[in-house]
Amino acid sequence: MSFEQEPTEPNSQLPHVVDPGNGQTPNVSAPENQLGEDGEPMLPPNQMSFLHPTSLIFDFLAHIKTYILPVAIGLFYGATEGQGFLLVFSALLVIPTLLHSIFSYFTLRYCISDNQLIVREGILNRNIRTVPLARIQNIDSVQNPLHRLLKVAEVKIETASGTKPEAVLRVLSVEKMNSLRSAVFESPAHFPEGNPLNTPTGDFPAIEDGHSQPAANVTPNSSEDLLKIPLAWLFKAGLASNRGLVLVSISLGLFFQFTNNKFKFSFNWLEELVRNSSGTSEIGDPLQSSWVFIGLSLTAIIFVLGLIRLLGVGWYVIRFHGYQLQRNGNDLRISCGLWTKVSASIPIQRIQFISIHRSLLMRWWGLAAIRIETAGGDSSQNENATESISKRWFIPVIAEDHVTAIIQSLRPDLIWEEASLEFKSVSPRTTNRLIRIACVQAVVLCLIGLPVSPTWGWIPGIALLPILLAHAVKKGKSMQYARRSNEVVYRSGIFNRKTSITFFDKIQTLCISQSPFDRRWGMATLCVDTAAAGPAGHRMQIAYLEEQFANTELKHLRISAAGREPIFG
Amino acid sequence: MTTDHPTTDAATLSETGRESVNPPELFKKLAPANIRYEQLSRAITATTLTVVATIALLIWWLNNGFDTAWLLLLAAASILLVFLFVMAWRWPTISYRHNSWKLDEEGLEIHKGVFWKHQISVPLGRVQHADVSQGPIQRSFGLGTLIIHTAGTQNSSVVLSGLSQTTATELRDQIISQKRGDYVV
Repeated sequence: MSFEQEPTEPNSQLPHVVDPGNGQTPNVSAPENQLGEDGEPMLPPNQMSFLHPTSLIFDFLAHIKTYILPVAIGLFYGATEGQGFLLVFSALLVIPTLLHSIFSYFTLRYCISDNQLIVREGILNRNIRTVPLARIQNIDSVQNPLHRLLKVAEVKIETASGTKPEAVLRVLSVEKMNSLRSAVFESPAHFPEGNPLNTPTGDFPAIEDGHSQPAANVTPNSSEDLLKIPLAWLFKAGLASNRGLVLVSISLGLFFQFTNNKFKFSFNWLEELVRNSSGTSEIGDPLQSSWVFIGLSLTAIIFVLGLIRLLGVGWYVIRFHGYQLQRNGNDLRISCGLWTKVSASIPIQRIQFISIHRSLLMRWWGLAAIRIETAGGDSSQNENATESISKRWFIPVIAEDHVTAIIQSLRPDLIWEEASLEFKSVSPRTTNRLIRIACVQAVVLCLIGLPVSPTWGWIPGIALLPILLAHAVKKGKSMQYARRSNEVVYRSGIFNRKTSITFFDKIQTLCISQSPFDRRWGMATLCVDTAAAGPAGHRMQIAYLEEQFANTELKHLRISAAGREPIFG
Repeated sequence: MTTDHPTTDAATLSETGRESVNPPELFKKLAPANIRYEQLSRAITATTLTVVATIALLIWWLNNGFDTAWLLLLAAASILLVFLFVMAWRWPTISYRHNSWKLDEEGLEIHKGVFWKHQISVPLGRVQHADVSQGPIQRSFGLGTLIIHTAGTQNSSVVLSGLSQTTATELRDQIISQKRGDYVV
């Protein structure tokens, strides 16, 4: 798309190339403007910055992390067993990484010029990456304690494309990062409405509602605190979560790995304890010792369960301590972390999908968690909180009475009152259908059990039937759907209740699927697909709708999705 | 939102409610040549399988001689292959009836599937890019496959095969020109 435009007024502190840009297509590896005599873009050399000098260390550490274990083991055995060859060999393994880090430090340069972020890498195979500022979705930064000691941060720049960050600047000094951030998010190009590029060229009338003129009247520097998470919420969320289980299973894995060889743990002390408590050096009274054993096992189980919950609490506190959600003009900014500080900026208009999760325990405590989806970056279900704070862990925990206000602030035109929403349940015959499925499941269970034990095999199937039936009834009631003037809302889940919202202008495709069973029941599944669906862990696949209802909904959604021009860039 | 849009007219609902809400005449069928093409490509697959089965049975016969197991296998293979050939002949006609598409002001809509039915709708302006591809046999029938890429996740590429090459190209151009503005997701 070629066009003539007035050179947008550059931010005064930014380096600026005189020529107005035309490289608005993302990621052209060599911009067509200003080619020098050797066919390379003439970038003002004095304005290209190196990364922070400590990048050498961090880059080295980041790369060596992948094979640190074999090297460490090699070094360890080499040193202890006197195998000089192994020692030298392991040490040599490190050298290519070291060279690579040095090379990449001295060849990578970046600058912001003419509303584009330019990152230049390599000498022989030179790669110039040009990212228009308007295309940048997030700027995430991670600071572990070492980063903080050296006052630097790892910066990830994400656009909508691909599954990886568009550019990783490892590492920048904190001041550089802040100036980069303000350059990106306060540049005129970042506001699509201010940019002739992003105004619809079609014959659609300009839409005159709240969010079509956002940036202009909001001063970019005014930041408004939306949410701070108090420690008490984090404690409760940790107690309610199963994070600890994951941590325990990891540590158990490590434990059993090491018990195989030299680091053999011994359970002798436990045996001693049993002996001592039974009062004799021999295990004399079998009854008494078995009671002690049962007591010990119970204590152990309670201890492990408590430990799991405590670990969960610890994980939440370490990850999200000092969580802060701010609104800065058109961006949301998150920062959190006790040791490793993570911060992320999310342009509000890039939010594709909002999902509110309420697990059973969280509901008891009046808490909820909010996940969002933005296109770009890692769109998989990334559990790593340092990498998915802007999606999976957007708001790790929030008190129920704050949810409404927060959701409303996520999108200017969104009026959110979940309680007053007119939800339509799925087909009333769904419960019938699910009960039939439950009965079939029970019969199948019985039939599997019978060959195993002809006398008792049928018991599991019969015993599970009430649970299956209760589940079927609950499930049939849990699925609800609502279409509003701007959004589609879907609610489902029995224990972990999930409510998701997506917007007409964010719908990518619509689909109605019908299996032969669906057709027998006159039902259909309506799927609403958005970009980067996944991190929120709740897909808009609304099953068991009445066929006719699904068809009319598809019709309505088609018109709404097409008639409303996607407003945001 | 336009509620008086022709396609939302409830009167067009069929009595059973099992049909699409859309009046069928708005939907276009695939190219009739697609039936021949499908028949041919299925026949080729079936023939390949026949050749393989024949060779396998021959080897068995040469090694083990003529026995009951071989006879049973021969019977099973013949039944299966006859079924495959019949399906190669019949299926494309059946499936042709269940595949249709339309392009209107709201975007593209595709209906497909005989047993598992799918109605896929790509609203206007969501197309990131569109391809037309053509295999060697498709070329001899003048057929093409239109592939539409959206920024979506599960239906990120929507495939419409069995169009005539000219329709596919026209459709692609129309869809691309429908793409308004320069928005990402």
